[in-house]
Amino acid sequence: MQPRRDLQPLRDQIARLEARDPSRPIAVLPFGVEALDARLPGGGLDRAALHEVAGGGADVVHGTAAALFAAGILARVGGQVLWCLTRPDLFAPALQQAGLDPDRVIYVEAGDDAGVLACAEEGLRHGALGGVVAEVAKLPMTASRRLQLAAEECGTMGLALRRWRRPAEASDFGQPTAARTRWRVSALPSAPLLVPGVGRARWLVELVRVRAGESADFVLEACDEQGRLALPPELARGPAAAQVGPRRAAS
Amino acid sequence: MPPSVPGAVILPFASLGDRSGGAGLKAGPWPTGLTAGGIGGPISEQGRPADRRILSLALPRLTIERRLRIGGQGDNVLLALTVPGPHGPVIQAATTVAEAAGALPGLRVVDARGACPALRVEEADPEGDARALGRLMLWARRWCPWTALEETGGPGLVLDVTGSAHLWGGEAALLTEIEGRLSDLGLTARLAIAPTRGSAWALARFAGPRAICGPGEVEAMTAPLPVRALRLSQDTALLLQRLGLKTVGDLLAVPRLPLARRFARAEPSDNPLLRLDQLTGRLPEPLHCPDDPPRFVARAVLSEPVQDPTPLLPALARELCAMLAAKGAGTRGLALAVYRSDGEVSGVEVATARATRDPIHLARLFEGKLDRLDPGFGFDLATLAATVPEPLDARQPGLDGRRDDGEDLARLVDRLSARFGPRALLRPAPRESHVPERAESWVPALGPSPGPVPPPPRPRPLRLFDPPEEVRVIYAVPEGPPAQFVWRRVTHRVARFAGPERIAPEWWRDPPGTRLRDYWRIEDQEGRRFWLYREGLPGDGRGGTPRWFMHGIFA
Repeated sequence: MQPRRDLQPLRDQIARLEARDPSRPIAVLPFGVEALDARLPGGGLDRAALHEVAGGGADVVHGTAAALFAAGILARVGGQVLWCLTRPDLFAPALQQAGLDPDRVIYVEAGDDAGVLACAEEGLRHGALGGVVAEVAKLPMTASRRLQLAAEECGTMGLALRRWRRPAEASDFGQPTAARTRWRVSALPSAPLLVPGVGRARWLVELVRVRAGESADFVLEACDEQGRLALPPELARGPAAAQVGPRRAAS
Repeated sequence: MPPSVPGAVILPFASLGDRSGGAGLKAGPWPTGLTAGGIGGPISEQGRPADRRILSLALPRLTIERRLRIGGQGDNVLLALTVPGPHGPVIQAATTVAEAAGALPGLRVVDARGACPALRVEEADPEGDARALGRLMLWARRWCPWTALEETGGPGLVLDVTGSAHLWGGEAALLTEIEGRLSDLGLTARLAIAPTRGSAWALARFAGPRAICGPGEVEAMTAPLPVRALRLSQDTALLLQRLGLKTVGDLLAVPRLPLARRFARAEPSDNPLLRLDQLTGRLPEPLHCPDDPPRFVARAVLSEPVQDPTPLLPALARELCAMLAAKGAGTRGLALAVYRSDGEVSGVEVATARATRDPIHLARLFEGKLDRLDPGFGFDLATLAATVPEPLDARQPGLDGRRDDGEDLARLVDRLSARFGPRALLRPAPRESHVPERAESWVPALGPSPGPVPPPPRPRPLRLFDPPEEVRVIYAVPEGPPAQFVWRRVTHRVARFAGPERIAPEWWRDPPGTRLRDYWRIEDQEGRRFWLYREGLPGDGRGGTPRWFMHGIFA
């Protein structure tokens, strides 16, 4: 669905009303995948906003695909990254393979969820960081609102990486938060290769919620060394719209 | 030396103590600021050096005693400290038990092991010893204002106690006091007082305990000592012995002219005549005392006791930062101490990642920490001290108005460290090792950058399990790929695999018998990717049937 031309002035007006600082243009980070960027207002992820990412399916406990998705975004944002977590089980060489160099990341092991949220807010308010990741299980509305305001004021991208202890707790993902977009990333079987081996990973990336946009889901190839996603080769050649369709918001 | 020694300079609060006379802190009888830089020692009215009293202090067992103190051990362990030698490590110091068992200093470790197989060997820390000795030198200014490090003859100090000894009840009492204090610190000391540096040095090391040599007794008391007591090098001392000059007295009896001719161009440590003159006082030997390091303490004296130090902080921080700025210094650590009206002292410390002297930033670091202070019925004195002062030159910010990101980041790190503890903020430092758990180490967030390391050539999982979790695997024996495995009570069927990637044990680090690992990248039918490894090969002689482990998840 292409944005209609006559709606654009109205959208701009709404954007001006919503923005805290109307003079500042909205900076976006495009994914470089047309089908994906077309779904996002402004043609990419808002750099001065909070985005929420969670793992789907069996990945809700480890959130591995979601964390790689976040790492890929941060790799392209640039600047120093503050990664606030409670369970220090990230393996830095893997982040490096997703494009996020180890000397760009500072980890904070912040005890519990409340510590992580406080730490992320401090990082967002700081203003000189490229991005801030908060690995949390619970994200209450108030906390997400604080993070969103901090991100908006200081122009830093915040990523709330939802990671639950048990799969049953993942139903919490339906609760409303103030995040600008909400993503669910789960692993899909990769395309069979002609020879024995394991090819590039493939994800189901669900855009569960986006403000001023419609939700959708995409089958994408996982991040490469520069953190870029890609359409699967069989889709890239044919019409991409075949796999991409409007989808009811799951929240 | 651990900072738990009461009264020592190394105590974090000791640098504040002498100004306030706080509880438990001992101050020297001199006001601070009375230091003698350069040539120390009083000058008499005639312009000639007055009769000086030099105290020489030898710490022959400092290295090993410091290590034992750090480890909290007694002297009854078989421990030796080594330094690298041309043919393998050489023992630098050993405990008395180890020395009795044959591990003598100067011996190679391999030789000492022959005499004493149970000997435990650790590396010595010469830089740490030197720093400890430097702190001890400053601490020794509690007895007299002029102290310096001894240049020759192992770890030692030299103190100019001219005009100070009577404050401690005389020279004999001063020597007993110093020996007792050092013994409380676990240090063996040999000391002597004499009119010259040379004679004090000789008497401390070669005469009986606590020798005191009066102004006219130098030659009489030093005559029976061996020529080594003249601070001569080994070679020269040996040469003199071969010439039949075994004691200082023998050397004093020799006419000066042949000695001067023989050793005309020698270095001081090879020149017996020069050393003799220094011993007798014919040649003056000034004492060069380093200045006290500057102390930065801001104080707030209150007329009425108050409960909450928060309103005082900004002013204290401003005063402290002005003092730091005047000296071109910054600080990496701050200590706030409140002195309660009933005499108790309590304190809070914070640390910063980089030297700074920004009062607003420094005051903010105490946020949320002040409730740990126990003000009791109120306090009437608060001090804010820079505990780790460092040189910090003024920097010109860019004219384009951009902020310095590095500086800003340091402040963020400070604030987060103050809240979550300094160990919570880390940065991964890749290391060159194929063993995954060794390929990553953690360094403090603002430490020196480890430098770029190329990414590993093969895919690595994002979550690494530590320790690896054992899984039950159905696989093609003996070395085939896994077909199905049970992990956390869920059965996964392998859809695709890649591998094996064989990672051999690091023989220089792993214990003997460590088995190799064959890593497989597995994709199950749902598309989840795992990193499994089989430990060992069947029949490799290092254990039974190989076991399988889950080491990480890709996505």
